[in-house]
Amino acid sequence: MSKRDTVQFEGHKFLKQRLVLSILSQRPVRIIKIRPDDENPGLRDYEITLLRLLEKATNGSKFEISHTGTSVLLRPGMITGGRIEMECPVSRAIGYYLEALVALAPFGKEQMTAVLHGITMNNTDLSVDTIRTATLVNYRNFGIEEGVELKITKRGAPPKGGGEVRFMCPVVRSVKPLNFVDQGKIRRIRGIAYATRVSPQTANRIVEAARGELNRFIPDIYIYTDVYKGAESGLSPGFGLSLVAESTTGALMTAELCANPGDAPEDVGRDAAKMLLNEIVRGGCFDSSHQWMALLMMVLGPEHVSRTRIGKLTPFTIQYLRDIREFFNITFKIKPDPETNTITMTCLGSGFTNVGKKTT
Amino acid sequence: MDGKQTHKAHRVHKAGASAKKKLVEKKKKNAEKNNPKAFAIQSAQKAERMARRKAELDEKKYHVPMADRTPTIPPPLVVAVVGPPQCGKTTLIKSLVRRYTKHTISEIRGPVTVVSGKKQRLTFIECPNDINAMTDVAKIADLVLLTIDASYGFEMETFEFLNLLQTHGMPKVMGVLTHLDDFKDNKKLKLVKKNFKHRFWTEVYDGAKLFFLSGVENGRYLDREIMNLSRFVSVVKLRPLAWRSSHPYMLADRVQDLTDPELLEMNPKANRTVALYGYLRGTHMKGRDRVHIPGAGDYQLDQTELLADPCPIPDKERKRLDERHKLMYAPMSEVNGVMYDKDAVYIDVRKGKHEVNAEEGEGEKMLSELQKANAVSERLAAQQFNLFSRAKPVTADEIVVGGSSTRTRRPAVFDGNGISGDEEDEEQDDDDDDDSADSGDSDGDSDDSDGGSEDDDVGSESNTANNNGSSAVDYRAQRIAARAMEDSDSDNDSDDDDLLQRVDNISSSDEDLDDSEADNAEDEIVERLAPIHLGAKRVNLMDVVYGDASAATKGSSKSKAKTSAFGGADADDVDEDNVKSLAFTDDIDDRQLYRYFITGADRSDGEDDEEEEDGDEKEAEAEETMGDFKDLEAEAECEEEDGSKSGSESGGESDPDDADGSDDDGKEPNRFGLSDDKMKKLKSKFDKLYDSDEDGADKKDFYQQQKDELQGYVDNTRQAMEELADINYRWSGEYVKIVIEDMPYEFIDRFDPATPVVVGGIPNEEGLSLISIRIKRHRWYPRILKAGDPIVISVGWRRFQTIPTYFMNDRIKNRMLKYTPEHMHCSAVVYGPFVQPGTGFCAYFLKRAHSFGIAATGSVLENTQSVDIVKKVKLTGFPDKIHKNTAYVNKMFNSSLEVAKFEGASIKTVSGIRGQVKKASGDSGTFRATFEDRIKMSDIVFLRAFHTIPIKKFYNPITSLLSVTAMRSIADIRRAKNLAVPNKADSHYKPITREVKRFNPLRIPKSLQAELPFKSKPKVVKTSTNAPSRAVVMSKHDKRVATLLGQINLLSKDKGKKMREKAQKQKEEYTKRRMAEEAEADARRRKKRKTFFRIEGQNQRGGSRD
Repeated sequence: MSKRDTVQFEGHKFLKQRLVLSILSQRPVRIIKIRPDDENPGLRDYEITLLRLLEKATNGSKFEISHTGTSVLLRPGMITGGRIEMECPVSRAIGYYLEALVALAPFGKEQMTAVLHGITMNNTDLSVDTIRTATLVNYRNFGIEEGVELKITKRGAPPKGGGEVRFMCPVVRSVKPLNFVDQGKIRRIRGIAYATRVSPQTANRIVEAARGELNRFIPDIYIYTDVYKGAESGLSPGFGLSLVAESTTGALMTAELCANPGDAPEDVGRDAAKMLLNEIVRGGCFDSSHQWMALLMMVLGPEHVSRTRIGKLTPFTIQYLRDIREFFNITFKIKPDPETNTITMTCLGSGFTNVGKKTT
Repeated sequence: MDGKQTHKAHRVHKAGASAKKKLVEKKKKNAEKNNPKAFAIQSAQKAERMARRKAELDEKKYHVPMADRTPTIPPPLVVAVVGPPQCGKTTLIKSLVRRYTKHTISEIRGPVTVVSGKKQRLTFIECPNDINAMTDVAKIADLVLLTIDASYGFEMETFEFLNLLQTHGMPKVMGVLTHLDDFKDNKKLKLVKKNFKHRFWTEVYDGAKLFFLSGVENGRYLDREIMNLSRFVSVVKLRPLAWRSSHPYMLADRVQDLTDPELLEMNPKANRTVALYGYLRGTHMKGRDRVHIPGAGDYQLDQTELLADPCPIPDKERKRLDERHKLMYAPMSEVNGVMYDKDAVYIDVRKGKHEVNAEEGEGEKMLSELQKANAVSERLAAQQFNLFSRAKPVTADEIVVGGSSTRTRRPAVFDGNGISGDEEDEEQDDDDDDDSADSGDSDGDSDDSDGGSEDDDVGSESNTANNNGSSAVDYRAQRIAARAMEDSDSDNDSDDDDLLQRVDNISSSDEDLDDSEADNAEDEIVERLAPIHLGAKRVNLMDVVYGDASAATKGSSKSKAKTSAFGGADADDVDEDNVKSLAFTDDIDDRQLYRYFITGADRSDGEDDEEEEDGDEKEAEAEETMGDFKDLEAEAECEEEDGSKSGSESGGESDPDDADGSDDDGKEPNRFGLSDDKMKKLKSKFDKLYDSDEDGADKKDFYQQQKDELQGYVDNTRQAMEELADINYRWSGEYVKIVIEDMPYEFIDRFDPATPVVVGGIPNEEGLSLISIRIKRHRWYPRILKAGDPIVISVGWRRFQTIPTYFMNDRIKNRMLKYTPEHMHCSAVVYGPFVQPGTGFCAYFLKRAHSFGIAATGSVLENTQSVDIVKKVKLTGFPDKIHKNTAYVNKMFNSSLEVAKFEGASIKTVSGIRGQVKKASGDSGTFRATFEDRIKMSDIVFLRAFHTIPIKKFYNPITSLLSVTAMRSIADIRRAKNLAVPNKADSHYKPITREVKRFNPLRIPKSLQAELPFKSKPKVVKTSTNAPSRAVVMSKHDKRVATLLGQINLLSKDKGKKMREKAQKQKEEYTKRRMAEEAEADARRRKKRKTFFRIEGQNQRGGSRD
């Protein structure tokens, strides 16, 4: 009898997705050479926090970290869900951790309620606003609709953070196959301009600038201003904008920008709007920051064909596709559509079912 | 006669029996119509009950909709013929095969596939009488023919098999009664048939088909009866079964050992490379899938290859099945001595006895010599050749390439850059395997043996012919190599060297073409040639993403993928693994952007779109000026959509403006100055979008909707099959060959074609976990199941031995059970690979101990990593010292640490005084405890607690196709080793003898009594006496009355006495008289009897004398 072999990777890049895929596919993964030549070799604090989070979200997982921290072995257990509370270090935003939970939570044993403390938005990870208004809304394409919630109880801007979100996700037996190729036309744009520990006027200035950029294309724009005060506003000042464009078929395009120290609110608004336009031009039914999610859920579908259209493949997605093949042995059919400059992705689902969910 | 022919009109009978009958029938038919009152609802309750019953019956018909994945050309139905031995299974298959193909097979080994109709094929398998084989057959059979020996009756195997079927998804079952010719009495036969039928019905379902085969003729059942059976087989309707429609599986109808014979010669017990052939069923398979072979374990498929269907359905639509299309495929049974292979037909020409010892000719000798596996290597080893000019000749044995023994055939011929990479080595090995395997299979096929021929040209051609993977490119490589050889300065005179080099070149596939070449000149040629087969194509995105597999999978930074219009920068260019990128360009053409918005869409429906692109600046400007005007409408429409959509969406944010926007349209149709036509068009569009929903929803109920949705998925997948063709998917219904490496040698060694070999796909079902199951002892199994006994569980594709821990939930905790309940479900936890919750399972013991084998059945509830199962534990201790309500208890714990763990736990004495553990005193385990009352030194203190028991993680797949190693139960071990059951004196039940305690009466000293309050004082309770409670002084009148009453009483008493005496006397007299009468009557009777018997005796004597 041949044993199931461990999947091995090198390097610190794409650590998160590999761990997540390992847990979903139940295949052990070994990641070696994590920053071996770095001044400070091994895992970073946020990666260790991620490992802790995954350990909390699962039952029976075994993480083996080498002496130097340059290699990790994960023997995955089962996803449990339930109540999780985590203090996330300020080196990465909460979005970094939420992305992992978004992929795992629907396949747990019980409904997940995760409370995460840390930075709610920065310029490396998805902000919690985008996750709330786009990522979680994208769930509905796969039959996960009721009970998904992300509540931003406190906002925390970098560098000190101090934000808090509560993420709730129901469990499902299996997801639905996706057949989403019509990207439609953008019919409305929504957004959230947030500001913490700065003048409430800042948010209005962001909105003004973003509207100025977008109003030419569509009048149906509504950007909420979300100003947090007092204890709910975290420890540092900050502001930013998260935009979501929705098409007639329900495709969501997102763009977001968080202010760096010294940035003018107008610049943030305008740049975010331009980024959104860029994203819209890319086309597809899922924007570049949600390509991975669509592909993952397609793979986790039943043994039917799933099909979707995405814009330009990002490097992240390309690696994601390779990793999916490594873990699930599923190859996507990638068919470019030169007319619209988009790509049709087709795959057969792996027949994944949430074996942890109880029968009644 | 001309004109129309006239017939006599039919006269309807107006009188007589038939007329009456018709009248009655007619009345019955129209009764409801003619007499509606009689059929009106008499009682509302009754009507309601009837309606409910009907609704329930209707509801029963519904099943959870399941996707029917049957492909357009379905794989042959698996018809399993099951039954105990000697009840005619083989005869039945032979008869059916004969019926379908007009062929008689002498021996049935393995599955037999026949074309049974224009669109149907059948695969017959005979199920051996073995619980393991029966389990496997139950998992794959589409139709089961249960043969029952009527002359014997039902046998347990039949019921065992039915139980296996029920737990693994019930396929269609038909019964076949055989040996009916043993019944000579027709009446009895009828009765037997009836009894069998009803018993069969209770087991399967009412009305299940049961066939009666009444006799055997020419070794087959009667043609008429078999034809009847075959007709029912051909129209059988199948329902999709949950497990099978979500897993790929294959019933191997041919098994072949592809192991390198050379390897076997060295180590006959080496792991084998095995090819399994069969029709793929269920879902699809992809290359390098993980599969489970019940009875052999989990394996990774090395390759999955599509083969031509050996038993195809006629492709042309015909009215009836042509004689030449009535094919049969039974590769293991050797039909007419012919065996089919992928590229050859083997004909078994049996040698006569006289030929065996005949002298072999020269050619034959050579062939048989070639068949020897080590011919090539031995010869090569013997040969010498020069590596360098003027160097000492070396033999192949002296050259070590990778240290591996199998690589001796690949010496590093070229100096310099001739050493090829590892991948190439592997490929070389593979090729070698194939070649030698082929030569091993095709006995005497001279073309196959590559190294055997000395002639270069012949050898090379045979090589290229053999090498399936090598295409024209290889050919080219060969020529290049040849030319390179001419140029190179190494003087290679030896033929063998040349040959070896060629082997090298051929084996190198097109990818590593450039690596394996030797010289500069060569490199040039390669460079020139490379674009022809590599780069000439357009950049394929699939290549970009998956192209350089080795680099991509290892995550190292050597991906050669090129960026294209559709792919961004390569994955390795990113610094961190964040999804978000902040890069954006400022210079997007606005006009291009407009296309992505509904505002732009409305303006240009299709054609306009292109126009817009082609058009010059002016037009664009004009349109932009128009844009302001048109935007209004677009806005309205978008808002209108918004409003209705946001109502249906729960997640979307609602726009405060929406409500206003949507209403406006209907009231003022011409607000935008649109023509009526346009308005109508818009209105119909709106109606179609929103109004028609209600009608459509009414037409399709929920059930139908779900079914349609599932069917939609299936149709989509079917359509996408072509699209996915270049990804190596093998679809259901295809005939495939799968190759598995590392198969233990027992698989081939102990291979028995009669035992079915099933290959089942296991998507995401490999991780081991605790499986929580609901289990019930089978009601026919004579024993209850004991905790700790290893049991075999058959669930999914797998059969494995495991140790269940039985428990029952009492709504608070899971209490362990030592034995399963007798007639109830209980829960259990076993350790094994993931199983989809809801899957049924069946449990049995490996060693059959009882007439009925199935020990338990049930279903999977949950997969989990930890289960808390507790059992009760009672700790006892004894008081050491007692101070008022406090006591020091010892002997309950052994250390203060243990006590610390139980601080605050509640304890109790035998007499029922409750208390609490307080704190350890000293280190010996003594602790202080407080009680609600003072306890006695003779009391025993209890601590009741629950102890979580560890679950035994034992998982042992039953490798019945290899060799079975199984855990024995303790009882078995004791039996085998002749050990006695440990006998604890303490555990014996003895009659409890309790002394009756005598307590002395309570004595309270007088002095104390005096001090007691009245309440507590012992009271002197007087016993009642005859003395009147109080003195009565009667008046004169009372006295007289009393005297009178006394006198009357006395008189009546006396009277009664007299009467009783008289009655007594009378009774005595009567009895006396009766007795006398009786005696008299008795005497009379005696006398009479005496006389009668005397006369009777005389008569008899007289009669006898006569």
